Amino acid sequence: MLASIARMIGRRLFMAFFILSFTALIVFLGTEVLPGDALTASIPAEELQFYSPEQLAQMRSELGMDRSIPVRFLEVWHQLMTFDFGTTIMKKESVATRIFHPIVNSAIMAGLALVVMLALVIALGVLASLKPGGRLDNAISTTTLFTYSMPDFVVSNVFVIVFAVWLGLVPAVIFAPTNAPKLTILAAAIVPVIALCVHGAAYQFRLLRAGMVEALNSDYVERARLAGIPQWRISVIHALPSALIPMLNATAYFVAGLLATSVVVEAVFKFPGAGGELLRALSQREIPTIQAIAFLAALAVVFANLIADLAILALDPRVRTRSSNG
Amino acid sequence: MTQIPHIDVRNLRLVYKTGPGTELAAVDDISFSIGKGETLGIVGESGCGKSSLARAFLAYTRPGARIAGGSVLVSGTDILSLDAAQLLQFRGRKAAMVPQNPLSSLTPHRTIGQHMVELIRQHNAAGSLTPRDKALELLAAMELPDPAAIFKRYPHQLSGGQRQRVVIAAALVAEPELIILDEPTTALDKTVETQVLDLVSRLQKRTGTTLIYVSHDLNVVARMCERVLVMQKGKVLEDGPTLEVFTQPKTEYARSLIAAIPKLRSDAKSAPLKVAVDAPVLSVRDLDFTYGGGGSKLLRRLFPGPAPSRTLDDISLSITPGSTLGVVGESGSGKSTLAGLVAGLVDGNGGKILFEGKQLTGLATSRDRDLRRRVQMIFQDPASSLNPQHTVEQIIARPLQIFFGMSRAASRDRVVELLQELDLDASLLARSPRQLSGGQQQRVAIARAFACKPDLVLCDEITSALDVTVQAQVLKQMKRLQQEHNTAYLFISHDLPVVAEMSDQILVLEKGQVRDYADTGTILTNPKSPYTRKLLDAFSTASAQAAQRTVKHVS
Repeated sequence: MLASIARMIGRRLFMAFFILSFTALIVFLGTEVLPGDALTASIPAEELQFYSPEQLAQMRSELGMDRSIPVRFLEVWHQLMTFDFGTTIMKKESVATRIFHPIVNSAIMAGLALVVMLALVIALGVLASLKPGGRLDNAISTTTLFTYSMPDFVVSNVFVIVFAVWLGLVPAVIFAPTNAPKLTILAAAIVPVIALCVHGAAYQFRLLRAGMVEALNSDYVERARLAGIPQWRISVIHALPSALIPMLNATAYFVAGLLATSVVVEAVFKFPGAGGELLRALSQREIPTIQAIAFLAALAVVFANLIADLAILALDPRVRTRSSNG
Repeated sequence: MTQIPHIDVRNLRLVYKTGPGTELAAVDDISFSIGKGETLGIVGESGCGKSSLARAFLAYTRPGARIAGGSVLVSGTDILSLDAAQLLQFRGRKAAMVPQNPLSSLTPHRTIGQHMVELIRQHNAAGSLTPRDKALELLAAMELPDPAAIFKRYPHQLSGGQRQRVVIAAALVAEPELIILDEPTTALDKTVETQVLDLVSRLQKRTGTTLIYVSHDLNVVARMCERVLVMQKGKVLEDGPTLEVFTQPKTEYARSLIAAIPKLRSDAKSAPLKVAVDAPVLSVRDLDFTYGGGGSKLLRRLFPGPAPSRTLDDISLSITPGSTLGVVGESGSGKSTLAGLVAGLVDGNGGKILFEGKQLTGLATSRDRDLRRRVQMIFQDPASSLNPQHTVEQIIARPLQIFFGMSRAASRDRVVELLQELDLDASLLARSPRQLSGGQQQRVAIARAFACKPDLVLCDEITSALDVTVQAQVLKQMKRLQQEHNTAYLFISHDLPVVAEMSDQILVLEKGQVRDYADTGTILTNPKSPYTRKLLDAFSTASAQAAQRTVKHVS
């Protein structure tokens, strides 16, 4: 059985290699090949007129931009795959140093969001399924339908108004610098995390509730009931693991979605994360930074999917034997 | 009989909600009582309310159902008025249920040990033992080989017979005074069924437990129960000693139920002459099959799994057009693999399969369209072999459109014709499989197979999931279809009387090897192998014991 799990992980890592290579290609094409080259985009428009075409050509060749596209792609690909993100074009700063703190800050926020979301969803899903169609279930289901239909930027702004402006519990924007102590970042992340969860948790909850209702209608739950097993054990130990399985794939999507939604949420709360850094790099056409952040985001998604698959293997012994047969 | 009865059911009424404001009574004003240590059988076709009644003994109704009146007294207490906490004390401790389908009734992600230990802890049933040792003791008492290994396994890793024993062991944890067995042997082979039933009756004799058997299998009830209740549409039609009900049924319904039991007849037809005359439609020569035998040799050397075991070993057989070859064997004997190989569901790895003298290539996907049309298969479980998202019309029309290029209008007429051939009403056209009864579903599956105008139909346990009366109908229709269309059948079942009834010739399989292969008459009267004799005994004792029990009752 261990051999089959190892083989599955091996297969997934092999696939991840191609996915990441493809991501590198897309990012490369999107940033370097399209009109308006990196150099002219990196130089502010008012300064651009002071450079002669010869100077520009000289700089391009220094930066290696005059080489053919495939050669440049291979270079970018090789750099990304070895986690060597190079330096920024104009200031020659190390990209890795620049993005380190924003990435860590965002990872803290995303990780916290994931933990809070899963805890919330599991608690609500189990509670709602105790009595499908009951008052509690109806209340939770209606609320989540409402929050599911709310876009993140609306939720974030409402939170700013409620928590910061009306209640004065937290500052409206976060002033912590990117390299602030991580505990400060963690504290600052709380309200953005709740904003991130409102939307994502709603969808996850609906999937979990459906899974719970199905599991609670199964023959094995009926047997447990008829054998005098108390309800909480039936819900948590017999039904929940089966009900989590359909949700987990969606959780991996949630992680992918976090990267997109956190750009919005970070902007609203001025959270010093990778989203803000990405926006800045985009506006300044700082191509190595964009490439690095995009690549790390893809890596996170691949990793989240792998974790979800492993969790499913842990929850369903039947999948374990099936994967060893084929 | 002055003591109070163990169980006293009074005017019990149980209804299902069928729509807004409408309800259907599954149990309709039933009263009876059961004495301590008595064995009672409750029989009737599916849908007669017997399973709903069985669950009421544990004060449980499925979602959508409710108890609309009456009471169920167990040792004098009305269990229907117990609160949630009292129910936890009652269920599993005073009374236990052995559920119908042991695979789906065990939590898939929990090991057998976890199931057992959970119950032992819940009911403080370990005594002086550790919960683990108590669980092992119970599993050993069920005569499960190597309880310690079973303890660690997941439900899907056990055989049907093993799972059945596990759910019985689970019911016995707290030594309840009442055990309800809901269709306890439906999923089992005849020989395993015999073992499981013997086991239960020995336990019952030792502990004096009251047993309620709910079953559509009258053989089982005749064998196990002193008294029998015949139910139809929520009412009790007959209630009396097993002998009386079986030999002098008072109602027409009970008479038809008893007449439908398949029996082994030694006067079975002998092989018809055409077997020798016609060229075979299917012949199989020296067929071998090993699971896990395929794939790369290098991979197998790198990741050595358990040694591949041979599922089929040197099988040879032939079927002439319009005749039936029956294949009998227990589960694991390789009979389904044989059908899968002929159907092209699995790729063989040795021997030859010839269809009208031409070699059939491996998988169905690599066969040409005409071959795929001419060899059809009908499966055991129509609920999972029919697409639940299609209507009956779409299901049957699909082969017509694919193989005969029929238009929608033309195919509709043909679908109606096919439904009529199987005594199904045209009003079912728009239904989905889930809205049909098990018997109707299987007949739709048969209609789909015959829509292809096949020359060979592979029938894999096609009546195992059906009630006896429905089974009798389906078998009759299969015979009629065979005569009308001159179709050959490869008829696979673990039920020897059914196979004997259908087949011109019988092949007996055990552990992938042919034990006997002859015409039906010879197999029934003069089998060569001891295995076939054992199989014949298992079936004839079932009916003989029923007779014996009745004799015992008279004296």
